[in-house]
Amino acid sequence: MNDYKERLRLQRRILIITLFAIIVVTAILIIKGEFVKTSEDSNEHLFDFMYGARFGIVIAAIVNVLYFIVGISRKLNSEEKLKAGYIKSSDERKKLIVQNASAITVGITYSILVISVIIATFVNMVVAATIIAVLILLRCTYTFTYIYYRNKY
Amino acid sequence: MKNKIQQLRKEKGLSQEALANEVGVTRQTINSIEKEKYVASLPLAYKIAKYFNLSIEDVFELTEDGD
Repeated sequence: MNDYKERLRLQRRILIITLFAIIVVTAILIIKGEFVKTSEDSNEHLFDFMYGARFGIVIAAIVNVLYFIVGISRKLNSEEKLKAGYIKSSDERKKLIVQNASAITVGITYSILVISVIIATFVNMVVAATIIAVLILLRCTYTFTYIYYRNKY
Repeated sequence: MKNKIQQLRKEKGLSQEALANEVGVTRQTINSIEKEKYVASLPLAYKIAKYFNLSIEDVFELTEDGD
């Protein structure tokens, strides 16, 4: 339980730093006029959509980080909530569900990316190269984590 | 893997939630084990057996198909 408490404290510290970093970077971009730039070429709607999406992602990230910080603080201030959180995070059935769901999701994502590469080669080579890079990154991550866990267990 | 958790729990007048809190898992996990949808890990089986002052073999029974 003490390990869990320490882990929560560390997570909260990391989240606060992340929140600070997001706010600073966003402020710099706003000052530089990146968030309020208006469309300058024929792809007017695409341009506006991109700025809107960027702004939306930043807002969602700030709200998410704040939500987690408040959740962790509540757990750290109440023994009852801390115990409930510990049980929830260490529950073996939940871990198995997450593990299985993640494995299937990665498998499906991998298949979709492979199909996307084939389609992209007919449409746009830059997109195809980007997807190939993502596939290589996925494969490398899998290989490294596989080696790590093979040595661990 | 068959088990007598529900029977033992009812003999003690315990709810799934109470047993779950005692062994450090969620109520849903106890429910799944009782319904034989999920097989408890060795540490959890040990904790459950220890809670009822029984051996693992007294609480859990390996079926012929090995599950």
